[in-house]
Amino acid sequence: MAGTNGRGEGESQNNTTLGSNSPVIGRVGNNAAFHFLQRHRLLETLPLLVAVGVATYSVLTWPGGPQSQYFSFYAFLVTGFVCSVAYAVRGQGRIQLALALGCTLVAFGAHASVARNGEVAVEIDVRGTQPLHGSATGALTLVMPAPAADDVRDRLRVALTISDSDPLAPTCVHRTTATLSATTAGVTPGSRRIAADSEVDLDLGGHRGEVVLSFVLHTEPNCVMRLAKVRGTLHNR
Amino acid sequence: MSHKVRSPRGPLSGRLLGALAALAFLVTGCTSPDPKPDASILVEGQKIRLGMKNDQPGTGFMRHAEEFEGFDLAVSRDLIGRVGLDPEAIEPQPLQSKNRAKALQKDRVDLVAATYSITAQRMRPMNDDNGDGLDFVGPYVSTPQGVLIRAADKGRYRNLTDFHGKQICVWPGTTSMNELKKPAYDKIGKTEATDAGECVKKLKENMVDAVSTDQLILYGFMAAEPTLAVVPTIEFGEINQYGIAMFRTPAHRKDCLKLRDALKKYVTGNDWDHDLENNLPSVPVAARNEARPTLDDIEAMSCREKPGNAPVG
Repeated sequence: MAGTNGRGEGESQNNTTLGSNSPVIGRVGNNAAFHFLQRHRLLETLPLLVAVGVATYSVLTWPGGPQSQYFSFYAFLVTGFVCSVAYAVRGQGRIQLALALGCTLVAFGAHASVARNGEVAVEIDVRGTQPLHGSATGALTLVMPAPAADDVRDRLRVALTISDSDPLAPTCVHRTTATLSATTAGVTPGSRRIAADSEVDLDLGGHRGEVVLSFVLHTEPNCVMRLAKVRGTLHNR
Repeated sequence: MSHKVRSPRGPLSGRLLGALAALAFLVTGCTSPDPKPDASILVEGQKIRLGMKNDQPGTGFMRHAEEFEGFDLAVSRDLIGRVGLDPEAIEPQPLQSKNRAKALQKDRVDLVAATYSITAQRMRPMNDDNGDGLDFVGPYVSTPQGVLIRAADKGRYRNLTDFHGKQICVWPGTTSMNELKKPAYDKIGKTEATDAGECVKKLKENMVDAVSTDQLILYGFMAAEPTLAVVPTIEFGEINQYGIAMFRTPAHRKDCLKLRDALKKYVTGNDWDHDLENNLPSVPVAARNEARPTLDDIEAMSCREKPGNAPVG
């Protein structure tokens, strides 16, 4: 039965003496073991934390563009995650540890590579009056705003679709072309004749600011057309 | 003593479900094409139902009961013959402009050769922004939009502004009617009739001042009606390019490609000239030359869901 000593502290029946059965030693021993276990658990979950950290960072800094360019990133990150979980559960396995950290690191590198050099969609501003009549010189200006100052991508792919202004009217698409010309100095090719559904890849020549292109329609005199779609993609490949 | 427990689903809910099912059946029946097996149109010994105009001399006309004639029929017969079938297999059936797409979608006809202009909307798949889901073999001829007047009024009209305040007759389901509805032609009065024949009748009876449609069709009327004349200086709107249409299915696409290849040979030979001249003798030589399609046009517009690109050098 527990009683109290003079100091009024509650004591169990088995305390008061030092030795192997000493509760003090037990408490100290338990704490050390607890801290040891805690640190050991932390070490086991560290690769998983790193993987989560890389995934979070990637999401926050996602550059966009087609998913296909992220294949390596996804593959290595998933592998890193799986190995991290396996290592955290088993608590051992140098190969799992190496794979977990290695794959996560490679995933980070793959993401960074895409962020720096991969394809990203850019807004192209179309200026001018539409629809465009074949009887007049139909001209528009296409403007890509200046990208971020640290963006090193040096190529712009422009995909254009010209369509009949009135889809109920006899179609003129097969008789329509356009000339796309770079107004901004240093951008090549300087001028290209394109069909109604086309893609043009431009070398920005190191130019870092806004890019301006001129679009001139060529079609039959009675045709009325629209530049219906313009999609810009910055890339380095 | 037992108590009958009323089912939570009473008899009324069963009837309601049945009524809803019947309504759903009716709605889908009314809005979607009749289901039909996907089979080739071009089968030896099988009749080919051809939707055609019956009131347009020179392009699609029924002179006597069940006796059709016109350039549309001549082209169709030639292509059917070139793919190895008997042109007599063609069974023409009269078709109004506004019913051309529906007749194909509902499998009332196999092909339509009815001065049918190829447009992006007609080529588009049915589930894509109200497209008609049609494949075309064409163009087999091209023509601008024009105006037909009474021959007695020849000196009065030289360009479209001369029709301000006048009445021009058009009919529904045509690119011509759509063109004249545009704001640029606001000052021209429009009278709507059922079809070409009715418009021409109104013109002859002085109920309207002119009829507007594809110039080729108007030349056909001019040849059949000496009191009427085409105004050669008036050409407007986009160039109409006619195609033979079919409802798009995988099997029909194969038929389309066969007919397209036959058309390419047809337009580069003398038969095309012969047929055009025989059926539309009033068409001036210059207009006839302009009307001949190019192989690039045929490649860009045949058997596609959207028009192809122009060749770029």
